[in-house]
Amino acid sequence: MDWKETINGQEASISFSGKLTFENSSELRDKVKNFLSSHEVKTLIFDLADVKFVDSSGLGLLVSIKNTMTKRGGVFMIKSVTDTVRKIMKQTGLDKYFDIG
Amino acid sequence: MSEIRFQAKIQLSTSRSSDTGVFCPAMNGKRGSLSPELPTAVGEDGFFREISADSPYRNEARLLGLSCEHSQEVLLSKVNGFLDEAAFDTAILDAVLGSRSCMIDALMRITERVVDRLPYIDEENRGYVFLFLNEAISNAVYHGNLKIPKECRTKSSFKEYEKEMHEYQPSLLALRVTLRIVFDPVHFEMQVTDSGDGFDFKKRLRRNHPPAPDQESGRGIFILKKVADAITFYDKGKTLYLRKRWRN
Repeated sequence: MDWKETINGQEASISFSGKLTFENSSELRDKVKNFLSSHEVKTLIFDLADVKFVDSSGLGLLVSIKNTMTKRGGVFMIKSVTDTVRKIMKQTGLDKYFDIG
Repeated sequence: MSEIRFQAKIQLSTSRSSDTGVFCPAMNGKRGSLSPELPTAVGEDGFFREISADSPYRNEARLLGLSCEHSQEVLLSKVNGFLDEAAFDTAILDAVLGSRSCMIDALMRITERVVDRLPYIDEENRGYVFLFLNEAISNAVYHGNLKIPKECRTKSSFKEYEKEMHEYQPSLLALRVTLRIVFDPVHFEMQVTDSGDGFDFKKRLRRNHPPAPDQESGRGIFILKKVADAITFYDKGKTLYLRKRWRN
């Protein structure tokens, strides 16, 4: 997983490559948790341009990040979603729940 | 610890023979074998290839008794070589694996190799194939075999959990998942059996709406039901069968 973070004031952007599935979602959850505990960002943007695939565990992780950001009064946005990932999100209605740019 | 090794068989042909009775489902009154016939002979490097003129599957490769210590790269290069030399539009992949991340990884990577060579599987359908496979395998391993509580699944990675189990409950990691995947130019079919106690699948299949959007889990079977053309469980929920027709 090629993880990159960019911080600009209270806005942070995270991008990574590969897939987001039951095989790596816990690892990613830890990384995001560590990132958020050490950075007081109000807006977190996930750039999914290089994420080719997501399963229900990966979707669960995205929901949990959105919940965390909402609880701390922040915003969670997703950008550059691939067609495959968008179609999978759509199956559960999450394409409308997430703020996808 | 009773060790379980990864075993697989890949059968390729240019047309799906009607009398091979690929398998299942109870839907058409025909029930296939839940335990694919896997070979007993073991090659030195764990790979054995067979071409039989009599078989409806003109090309057959068997991946035998691989442990987590074997190099997957060597295995995958042999699988690639096997697939490169065959002309096929139908592939059947049988596999038996333990509840180990290295074996799940081997299965995923072998399946990727097969899918890459089937021209009728476009990007969208490829996504659905791996969605089916991921949901089925994670259900079989997490829920069926290891019964990992939801709280633990979100707290530690599967590899960390596996490490702990290796120390405290190694026998659980030997619990099997048996799987058959069929690709032909018209359909995708999959059957996955775990070694657990089953679950109330009727209740899960009755659900016609996704969980609330802020819920972090509970989408797996819903997604399978939504995307597949047919889905059913057998054996108290220990076996999942699903089918999808390609729509390009």
